[in-house]
Amino acid sequence: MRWRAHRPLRLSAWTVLLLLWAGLSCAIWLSAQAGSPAQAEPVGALAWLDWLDLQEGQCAAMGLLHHQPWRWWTAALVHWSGLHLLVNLLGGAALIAWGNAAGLQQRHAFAWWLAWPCTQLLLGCLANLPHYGGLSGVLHAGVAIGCWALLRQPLAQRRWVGGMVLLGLCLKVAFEQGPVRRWWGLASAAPALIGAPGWVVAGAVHESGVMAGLACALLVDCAAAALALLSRDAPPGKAAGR
Amino acid sequence: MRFPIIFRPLTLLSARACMRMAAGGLAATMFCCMALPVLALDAVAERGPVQRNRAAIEDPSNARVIVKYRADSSLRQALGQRSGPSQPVAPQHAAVLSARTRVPLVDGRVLGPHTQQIIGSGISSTELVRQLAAMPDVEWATKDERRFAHAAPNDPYFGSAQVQVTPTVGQWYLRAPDATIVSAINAALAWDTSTGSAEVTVAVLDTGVRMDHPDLAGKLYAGYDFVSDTGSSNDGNGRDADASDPGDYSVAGQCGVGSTAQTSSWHGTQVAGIVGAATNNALGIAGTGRDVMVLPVRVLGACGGSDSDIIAGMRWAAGLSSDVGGGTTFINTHPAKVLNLSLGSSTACSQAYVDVLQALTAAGVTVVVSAGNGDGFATDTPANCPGALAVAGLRHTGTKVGFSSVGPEVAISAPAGNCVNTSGPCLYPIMTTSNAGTTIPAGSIYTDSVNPSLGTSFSAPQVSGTIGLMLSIRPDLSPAEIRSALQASARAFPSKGASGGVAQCRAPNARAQGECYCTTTTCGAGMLDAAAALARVAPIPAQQVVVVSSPAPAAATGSSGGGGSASFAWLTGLMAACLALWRQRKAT
Repeated sequence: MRWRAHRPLRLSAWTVLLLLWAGLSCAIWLSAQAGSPAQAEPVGALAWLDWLDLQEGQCAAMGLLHHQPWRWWTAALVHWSGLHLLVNLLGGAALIAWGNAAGLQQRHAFAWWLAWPCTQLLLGCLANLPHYGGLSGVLHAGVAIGCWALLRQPLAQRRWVGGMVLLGLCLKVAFEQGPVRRWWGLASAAPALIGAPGWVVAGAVHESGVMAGLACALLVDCAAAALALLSRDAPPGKAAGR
Repeated sequence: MRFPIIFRPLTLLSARACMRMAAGGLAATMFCCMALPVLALDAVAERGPVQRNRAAIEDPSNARVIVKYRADSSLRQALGQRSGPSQPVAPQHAAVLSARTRVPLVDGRVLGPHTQQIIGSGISSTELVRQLAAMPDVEWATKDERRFAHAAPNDPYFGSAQVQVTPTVGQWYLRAPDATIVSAINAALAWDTSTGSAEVTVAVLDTGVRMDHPDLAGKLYAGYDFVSDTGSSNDGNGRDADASDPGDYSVAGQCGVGSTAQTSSWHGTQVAGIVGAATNNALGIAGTGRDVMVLPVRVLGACGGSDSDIIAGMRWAAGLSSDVGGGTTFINTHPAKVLNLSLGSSTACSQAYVDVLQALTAAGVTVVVSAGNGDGFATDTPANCPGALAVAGLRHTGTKVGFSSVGPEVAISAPAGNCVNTSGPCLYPIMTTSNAGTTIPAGSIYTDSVNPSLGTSFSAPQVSGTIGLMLSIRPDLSPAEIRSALQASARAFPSKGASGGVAQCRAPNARAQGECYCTTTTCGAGMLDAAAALARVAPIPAQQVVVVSSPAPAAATGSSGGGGSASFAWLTGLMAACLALWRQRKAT
């Protein structure tokens, strides 16, 4: 039998971010269970972490930026039930696989991190949800960022995969509760929430996630391109001066 | 010393200010001298007269709210766990609610196992109620408002124990019933629900109204005179736009061979006063409908009125027609939803009335008609017509007053006035507005024990005024709903208490019947109770109906979970994409 030396485990920033999210989410969920075993309601820690928008449909979630800005990120760590957490963990695992398959880099992880608050902000404009918790929208943002990254890669095969996934993502969101329903005047017929008691999904957050993910990916790529342009245009003396 | 909460800020501020300025000697004295009268003034206002400003302006930055939490609220469960299973759990959730609403909140008094007072600053009570009501833990939230002792209107003839006028019982028929005035309609309590709306119009089809009566000032629309017979109109012409009552006196022979001379009754003015005399104006009497408006429609002249004039007046009053005859059009700018007809005569209902009542009912107009003063005989026309809301008369004791007609057509009964004695001052008349003239108008007066108003004519306007109040809070009520609410809320007739020899009322026949114990087949569903009728139709205040969106907390919050991206089809597709990417990477 031949033994190979262990290679050091190297995790991408994308994976680290998702593992961090999973660990924190589980910790918060367990602490909530200790405090209130019957319900994962916004009590105690959850009351301070979930997304809160009492403006009732007005796009006024910006108020939280001044008062309790942490909620822009922590809402994704809050889960109302064990099933809710389990399904999101499954989605998170899929997103790790997607990120690694797409070869996402640090800047994409940064774009995803930026997409967290943007998703909640857009949600406040799209739906009237007094409370919100979970990674659902942000998962969609992650997939969208992966698609964007693939579309910018040189190999046509990878661009094709990215394009198809993005198309599927858009169709899913559009028919779930998004633009198609609105365009067809079905918004009033469509409930703000879909699913069943105990596992309720806000369709609008998927829409906001896709939009936020694409916007943040574009922003970060533009910023990276600008930085690259600036460093290329920098006077040579600076580099030679070392 | 504890001050009422509303005084605390002012008291503390003044004390602190006084202490600071004490070092300033004279200045401090001056300040305190200025501040103390303010305190004293405020205190006087608090302890002031019974009539208070009930429409207090809401404080925009100090909220006082009462909240009831759901029994299965996780807030309650969490609090229970902290307190331990054996400890009683008092609802004190201001801290958590404060975190959710981003508003500084303080726990107030505990009102029950699930109910507490919340005090907030920087927010109005209305806004705090709105925010709390949206929370899944909250069963309901309502403003912690101030209440006042019930205040009777300040019309001098409203109250009991009158010393300047008779009857000494004043407007007994509007007050709360008691052991003496059993049939009183409880309008005083109804006014705590609504004092009527000027948007509601009650038409009084009668002899016209004395527009110059001071207790009807501002309560009358112009109306119209439909009396077409110039021989009995007493105003020298036929139909015209002047609905004022010129007096319905007649000379001997004017109304037919052998007819005797009659003095003016001012009947319409009396009916109008019962419906809607200006109330709480420190003058005369109160009206049942208080702030509702009265549309006088003159249909009765010196010798009564003809069906053609009455029916034309009914259609015009309800806004069904603007044709006032002779090719003239006169638009009724204030169509009434309630028509009061204190008139009739003993015949069978004619098809003409059947048709007009059908049309009015279809138009959502309620027609209240007095049963008639037929000494226990059958009800008059149009009270006996389908669609009419016929009103019989009661004595103050709740028995049928001797002169009232009866029958199965009667919907409800109300006081008609009774004197008890056969000589001397009438003890329980229906006090109302009138005129002193015996023929043409003279000074404005009120009917009293010497010149009493007695008759089912004065029962009907009590019902009309009550309907006016009902429509003030529920303009959408249909005639059927009004009838149903009035009948369902009516108080049961007494079956004892009258003097000996009083029998139960029987179906009308060829023999008269005087005072008798009413039954539901002779005097309608019961005794009119205005307060109960209003309570029956009054909508529950919105802030008290706060329904949690769903019983399941996670769903009730409107909270969303993730997992949408983990649907089986979607995950399969995403994994297939991952595989394709990995294979492609391996290949390159």
